Amino acid sequence: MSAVSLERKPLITRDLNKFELEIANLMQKIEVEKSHKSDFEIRQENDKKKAESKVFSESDLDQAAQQTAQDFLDLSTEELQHFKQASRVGGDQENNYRTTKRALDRNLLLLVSEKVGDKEMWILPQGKRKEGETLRDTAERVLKDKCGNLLKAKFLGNAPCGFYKYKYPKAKQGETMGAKIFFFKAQILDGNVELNGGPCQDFHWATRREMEKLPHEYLKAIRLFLIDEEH
Amino acid sequence: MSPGVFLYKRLTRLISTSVPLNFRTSQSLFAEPLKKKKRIDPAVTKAREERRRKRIEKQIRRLEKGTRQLKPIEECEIPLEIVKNNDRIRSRQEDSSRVIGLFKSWAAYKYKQSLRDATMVDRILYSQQLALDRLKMESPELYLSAVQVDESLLPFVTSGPTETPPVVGYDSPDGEYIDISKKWDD
Repeated sequence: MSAVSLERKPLITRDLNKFELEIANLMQKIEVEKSHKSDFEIRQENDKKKAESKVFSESDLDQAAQQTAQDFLDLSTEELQHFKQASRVGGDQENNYRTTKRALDRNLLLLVSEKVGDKEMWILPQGKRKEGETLRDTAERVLKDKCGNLLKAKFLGNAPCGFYKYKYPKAKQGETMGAKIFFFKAQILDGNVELNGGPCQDFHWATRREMEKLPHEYLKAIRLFLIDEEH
Repeated sequence: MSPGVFLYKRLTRLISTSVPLNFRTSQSLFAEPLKKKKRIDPAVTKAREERRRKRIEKQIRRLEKGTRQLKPIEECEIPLEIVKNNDRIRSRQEDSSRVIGLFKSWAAYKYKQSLRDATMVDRILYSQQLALDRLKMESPELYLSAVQVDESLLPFVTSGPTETPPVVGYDSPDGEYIDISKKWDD
């Protein structure tokens, strides 16, 4: 059997922790101290000096009409305020488990709720290999079958990245004792999951902390090949 | 008369050597006669030698000068104004013991972080190797198809993460582009 570990990689940088922030501020301060003053700062200083020496000559009056450094600064600040940056937090999307636009600084893993045997379980999208398919083909087909055509994903290589095997319950054991699952890594490029009556009941773009929904042993096998998050 | 005398007489009648026949042998030399050697003043040869040496030296110097002179990169040169004046330098405090302590703990922090990363990479590689080994046991054909290189991934391109998410539908203004770089002859 093949399963797909489909991830949405972080879109924005992670927040710095307290210690990292302290170091970042310190480095910033040192860099400013080591730097030379810019043309603009020199201009500001000259303006200040001119204002302090209150002796106005004819030529100074002519120059007063010119733009001062402060004017320039105000104009630039106003221009900056007109530009609105996108927010780092998803807002009301943040608690919507079905959107990829949440937790932008985290890795999100696609979990689906599916009937395995007679129990409803949270797992990664998985399916049996058909005759003549390679495992990668199976993984690509499974993703299309279960999550619809709108989802565009990039598979990372032909080799499986993880392995998990389990036994069927005694009553179900026939010719085969259990199943072996080979996991393939993929990254989402565009789109989202479409259930429209497929075998999956529900889906969840889970952060690393929300993966407790998975069965314990299964989770252990998956954690083996996932990239950690620091905090 | 003996027959010998008769033969002699016949021969003398046929070939005459006393008559000038313009048939002469000359000395064979096998070479042109040597020319008379011209005498050159040793001072002149010396001057000529000197001139040649100077010419070669000049050529070498010109070549060396050419290699030393590189195309200037204006962006990398410090403006003269900054080198000359000191009024742009800011006052700088000495590193306090707190700052030194901070840097030390930063080094320890980064060391732990890199150690964690290394173990993580090991763990992921182990997981993949385990999967491949199991697959080999299961079916050698599938294993062979799994270890093929995925050409579509090469060259691998990726972007992000950024500080803030992209603004949806943002129309980035086109700046004017004026090429002010100077032209240099090769």
